[in-house]
Amino acid sequence: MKKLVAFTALATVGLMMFDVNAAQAAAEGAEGAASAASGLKGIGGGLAAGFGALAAGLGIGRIGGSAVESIARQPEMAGSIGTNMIITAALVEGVALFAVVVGLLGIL
Amino acid sequence: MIPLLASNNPIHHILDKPISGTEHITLLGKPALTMHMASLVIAAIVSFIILKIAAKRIAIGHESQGTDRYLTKGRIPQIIEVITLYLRDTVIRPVLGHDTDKFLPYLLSVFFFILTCNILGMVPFADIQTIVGKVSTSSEIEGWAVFGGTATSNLAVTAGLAIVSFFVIQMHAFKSLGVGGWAHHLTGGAPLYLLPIMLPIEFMGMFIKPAALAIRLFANMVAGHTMLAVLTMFGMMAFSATQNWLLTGSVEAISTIAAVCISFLELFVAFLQAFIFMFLTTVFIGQMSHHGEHEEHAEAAH
Repeated sequence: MKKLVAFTALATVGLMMFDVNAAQAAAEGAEGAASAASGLKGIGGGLAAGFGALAAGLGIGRIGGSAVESIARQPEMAGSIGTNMIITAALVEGVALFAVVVGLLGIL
Repeated sequence: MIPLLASNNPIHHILDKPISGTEHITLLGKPALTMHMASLVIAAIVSFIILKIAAKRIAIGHESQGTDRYLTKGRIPQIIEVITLYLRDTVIRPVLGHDTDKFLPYLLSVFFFILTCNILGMVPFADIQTIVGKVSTSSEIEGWAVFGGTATSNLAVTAGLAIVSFFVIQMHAFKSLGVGGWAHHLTGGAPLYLLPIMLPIEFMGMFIKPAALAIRLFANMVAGHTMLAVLTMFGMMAFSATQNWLLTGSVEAISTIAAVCISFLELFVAFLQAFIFMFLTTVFIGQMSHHGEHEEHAEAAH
């Protein structure tokens, strides 16, 4: 039951992040619709950002899952575990945003 | 006024623009005075003033105050004191050990400066100036503004910060390890037959790690503001598609709620990215020093 709740919460957060990057990817994709070449560039940019969002969701979901599990094992370490979770999530999100930057470079 | 809420290009209001009225001043063909430069200077001045006042209130006062001299007066100095103590004792000291006091001024400056830049970027200064300009002078100039925008959403600014971090890390490496120790650190403790692979990778890693710092901060800021711009665009997109105020109003209401929620996320990201930049610089500095002590600590832990 705990794992189900944790998984649902993390799936929601992951979907939120997916939404952030997908909306941006959609905005990027709508930009380069002028010609075939820039259409392909748009697809490339959108794919880059989309895969980045996918990877971010997977990575941060795993981080959150193990963090919540270990808090359940040892509730008195919740503060320290939570801090480390946030730091690691920011690092993984950084890599996903590298993919978004590559997508932006592909569009422009 | 309504077009201010949305241009048809979400990236337009994030890109750097020359300060209105100085478009003719150019350096090597590009505008020389841009809005991000002005925001940078203003963020530096604001953070300097706030931290100076806070430092005076936090410092132990004169003996004539009695025991009151250890108190910190005022809410903002108290917040800054709590943040600084947390960063120093829980984040930096476990990593750097006895080098903490040497690097604390630089690391805390980087943290508070990036934090100020990020938070000032959340305030829509550029739009306020454009609205005030339009209302007061009733001119038709589009997007008149002097300062505004997030300074750290400019790759040049974050690259500058990363270059300074790079120099701090390398100078500490040379001072504490010496040239021979630095070269030995590049091998990463690998056996000799792996050196042809290890050396180029470690050498590139030396430059790529600060570059990743710069790109991470830049991409986080640009992504957040692009997201906000796209959400704000939905209302005007609905209006230009349906010309129906009721539908536009309902779309606008939902997109405003979403924009407010994303703004909360962006405030969190502002703090987090400043912290991550500082923390990773700390970790890279720590990697460049006491290698022998790490093995001692590991044995003591067991």
